[in-house]
Amino acid sequence: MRAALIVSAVVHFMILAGMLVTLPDAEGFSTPSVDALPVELVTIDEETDVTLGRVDAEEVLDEAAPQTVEADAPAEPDTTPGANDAAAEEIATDENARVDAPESSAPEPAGLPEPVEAPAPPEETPPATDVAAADPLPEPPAPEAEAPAPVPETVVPSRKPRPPRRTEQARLQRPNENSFDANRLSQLINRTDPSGGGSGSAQASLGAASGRAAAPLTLSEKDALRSQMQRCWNPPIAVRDGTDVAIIVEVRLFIDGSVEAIDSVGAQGVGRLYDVAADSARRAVLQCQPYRLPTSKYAEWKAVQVTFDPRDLLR
Amino acid sequence: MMRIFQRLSIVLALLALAVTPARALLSIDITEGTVRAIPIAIPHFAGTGADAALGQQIAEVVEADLGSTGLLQPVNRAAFIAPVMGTADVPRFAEWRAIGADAVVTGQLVREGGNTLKVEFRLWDAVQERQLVGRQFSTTPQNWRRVAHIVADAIYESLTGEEGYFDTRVVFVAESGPKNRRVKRLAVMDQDGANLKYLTDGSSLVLTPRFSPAGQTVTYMSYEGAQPQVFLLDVETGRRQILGNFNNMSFAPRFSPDGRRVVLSLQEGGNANLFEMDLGSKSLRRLTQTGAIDTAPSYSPDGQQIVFESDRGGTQQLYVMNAAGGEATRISFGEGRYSTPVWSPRGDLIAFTKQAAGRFSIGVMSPDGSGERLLTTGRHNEGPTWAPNGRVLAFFRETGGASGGPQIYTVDITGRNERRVITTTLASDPAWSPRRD
Repeated sequence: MRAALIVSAVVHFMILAGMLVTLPDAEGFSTPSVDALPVELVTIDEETDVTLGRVDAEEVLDEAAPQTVEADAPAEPDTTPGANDAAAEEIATDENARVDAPESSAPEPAGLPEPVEAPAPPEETPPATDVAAADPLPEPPAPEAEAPAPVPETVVPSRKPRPPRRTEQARLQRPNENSFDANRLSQLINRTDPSGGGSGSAQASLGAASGRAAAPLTLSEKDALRSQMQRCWNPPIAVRDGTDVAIIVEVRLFIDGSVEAIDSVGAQGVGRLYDVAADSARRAVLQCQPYRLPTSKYAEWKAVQVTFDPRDLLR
Repeated sequence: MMRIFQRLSIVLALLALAVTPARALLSIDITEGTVRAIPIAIPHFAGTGADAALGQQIAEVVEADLGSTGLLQPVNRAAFIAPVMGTADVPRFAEWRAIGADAVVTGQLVREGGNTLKVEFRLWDAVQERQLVGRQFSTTPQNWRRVAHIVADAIYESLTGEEGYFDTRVVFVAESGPKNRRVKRLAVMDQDGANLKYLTDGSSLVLTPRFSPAGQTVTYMSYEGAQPQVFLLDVETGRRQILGNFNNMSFAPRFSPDGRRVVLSLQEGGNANLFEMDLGSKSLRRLTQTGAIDTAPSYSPDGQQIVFESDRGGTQQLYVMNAAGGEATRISFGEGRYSTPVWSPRGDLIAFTKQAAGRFSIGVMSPDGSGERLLTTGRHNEGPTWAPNGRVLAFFRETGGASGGPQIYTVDITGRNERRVITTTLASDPAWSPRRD
């Protein structure tokens, strides 16, 4: 028993020691330096950008939001491509506007998931306030809202905010909407089917939005970050010819791409040469901020480990 | 037993944890950079009364030193927000960055008693917004140039990682008079050409001066007396002595890295061989014995090997041998003739003069003869000498024409940043001093 225990212990120790010696040498998943090719790698999660579901999630909406009623007159708010919900949320505060456009509250019963965040009624207000500030003609929005009175119900609530961006000129043109206008062709083409919850291209599904895994940076996004740093790195002359110094720093970034902090992680080399190389690395990181990275992937690049390795530099 | 086993397990588990990466972090490898001169702003040093002018002069010498390297780029003073800055002022970094400065130097002069001047300076990193170096020196006001060079050395070191070489001197042969009656005098100057001082009176021809590793003594060849001989000269005191009483001509002397020996050529009939003289015992030891001309010996920095030129193979080529003598290995195999080899103080390169197709080049190669690179080529370039950091070479270039003559130039080992050292006389055969302590 005792002998077996000893043998067992020794053999275990040898195996573990062997693993410790050999396994840590395995390379990490570092990105090899490659020249950027004009090829964009599209990951599958971009295509199937769905939120992860939870089985116990309350059923919110399984089908599309209210469908557009086939109406001859196009809904006025629907005609301004480009506006989005976020803008509407910020400015939908004016009381008057709420009075001006009571009709637009109709969609609420549709039970959309959004209404809580962006109540439909206030969404109509922006046009009034915006225009009022800019022009001496605050009225126009109201008549417009009334004119298509039968139509509002047909409008997807989430699209409502768009009217604010309309120009005075566009409103004046509106009475002629029955006649074909080539300039508005794009608006017809751009019209998309109403979708359920979420914004952008996300599809409606069960579950919390936060459950979605963040998409990793694409190879070309990483390459862009790398080349941005390389442009600012001025390796000191003493480390340019294959000196055995490498600097590893962890760079923490704000969402606007500016540097929050630079922490030393590890390094190779000591003494003056190391200090000089480390200073040049920090200068490079600071000088090239802000970094242009997709904010949607902030979680991915909030912290970046950067290795400045001059060992392969040629003078 | 059981307890030992448990402890072992715990230790192993901890070790395993220690080597396991904590998390997958986005990681980027930067293996390329953009090499450019570092822009640096050097406002005048602050000082009161007469010292204000001195503060300006010191800042300008620092600026000239750093600008001459090609690795740092002084920012034009006209753009400065604060033309004078003392060490008590913390620079407003954003303003300096706005005019393109990555680094800022502030300094001030404080008078301590009648003839003692305290010079303080700080080097600031305008990007990281912190101080990189801060030092002070006490000196006499007459010594301000040297202080400026020391300040420049400290700045150069903390921005490039290389050892500074501004607080050094160059001994050379100053030439004057018409071409057919040139007067050649031994002279010494600061590396930037200032503080010229003649060491000999010009009554006899002098050649090949070389500094001792301590920087105090110069060995050179002089044509005085019956035949040319090698002398030792103390630069500070002017005391001079002949190296040894040889029956034949002695030439091409050079100190060993420890300063205790001198290697030189002695004429033997139509040939010349290498000898080593111990300065303490004055004993002479033969290193080569060939029917050829072996000359221009130079030690490796560790003192273990000697590189020299020899025509034993038919033409002048470079050879390396053990410092104790013995078999020599040829290292130069290119077209043309190679001469005046000098081993770099870093040990990684040997500089030489190469003559091919009627043109003279200054080049470098590895001690094994590989990686030959020519740094400059022209009608006549000759006699390289290393700056103490092994990054820069000085040599002389002969210009043609009636009024032409030799001038000293510097070039860095990449072949870039060639500059003429401004001297008041024609100058040849430079030898760079070691760094002063």
